[in-house]
Amino acid sequence: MEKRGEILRYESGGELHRDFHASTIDGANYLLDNYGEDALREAVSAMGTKVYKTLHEKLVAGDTSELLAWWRYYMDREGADYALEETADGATLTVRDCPALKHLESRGIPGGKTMCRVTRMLNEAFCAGSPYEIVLEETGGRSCRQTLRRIAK
Amino acid sequence: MIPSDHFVRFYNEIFKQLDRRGQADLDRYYARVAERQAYFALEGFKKDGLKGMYDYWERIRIEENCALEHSYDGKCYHLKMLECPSLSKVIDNDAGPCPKYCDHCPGWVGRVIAAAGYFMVYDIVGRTVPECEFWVFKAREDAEAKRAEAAALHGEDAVKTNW
Repeated sequence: MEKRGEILRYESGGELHRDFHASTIDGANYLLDNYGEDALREAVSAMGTKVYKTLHEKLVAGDTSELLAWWRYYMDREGADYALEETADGATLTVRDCPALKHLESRGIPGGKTMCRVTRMLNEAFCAGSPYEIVLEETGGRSCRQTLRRIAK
Repeated sequence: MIPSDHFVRFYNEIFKQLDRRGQADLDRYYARVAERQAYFALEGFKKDGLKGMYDYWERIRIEENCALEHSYDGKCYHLKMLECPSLSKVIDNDAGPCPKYCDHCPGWVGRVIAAAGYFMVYDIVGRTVPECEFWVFKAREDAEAKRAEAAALHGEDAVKTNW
């Protein structure tokens, strides 16, 4: 049900188990509550630089193609209400209704904003050592804007 | 957002970190996961017993794209994972697997099953092979007999119980 795509390292198919969003925030909160911010950052950083090694290495080399494909593929797969616009020095991902926050609310699970914190850390890890940064702005409700921009030549 | 498809690779990174801290840290996390999973599963296990377990893992079979066979009768619920999608993803992973990845499953399942008043025998089979098998019994003597049988087949370290 998961294959290596032409651009994406991991291209998942089949059904979705959306309760894994609850597992993500619970794991993140567990690390925060018991070991602190650095412990969570270590785990998320490993995701951003080792699990998503190819995406990260492309960004370091100045290539945004896998990040943009990853955003598009998983926003579509999760049924997000979003727009992805490429700009002169990067891209803007506008999430009008985050599928993770929507699912957590539908299940009555609090603490969904931890997902936004994890996303910020993941974006930092993706961009570590690269000429890019991603700025995430929470824009109310279940929406946000993530702006990828080049900060160095 | 970490896509729900990729949560297990995040889970794997948490296990690696906790494993470096020590087995007690892993055990405390399994207890926390069990507490959270009880939210989704325990009521059905208590209310419908072995059928409730079948219903829970039938939903998991579909949503997590599992190749598994499962069934229940008056004494036992049995699940045989033919190809675990979770370990498969963790192995197909540029960050590499945590050697104890498989242990989380009996770690939380056993606790929730125990809270419902049943006895679990979990045969991990092998930690690099995406296959496993578990049984849930109403009677402890039936579970003890199955534990001995599974341990003879795959070794004591591969077989976990919840009592």
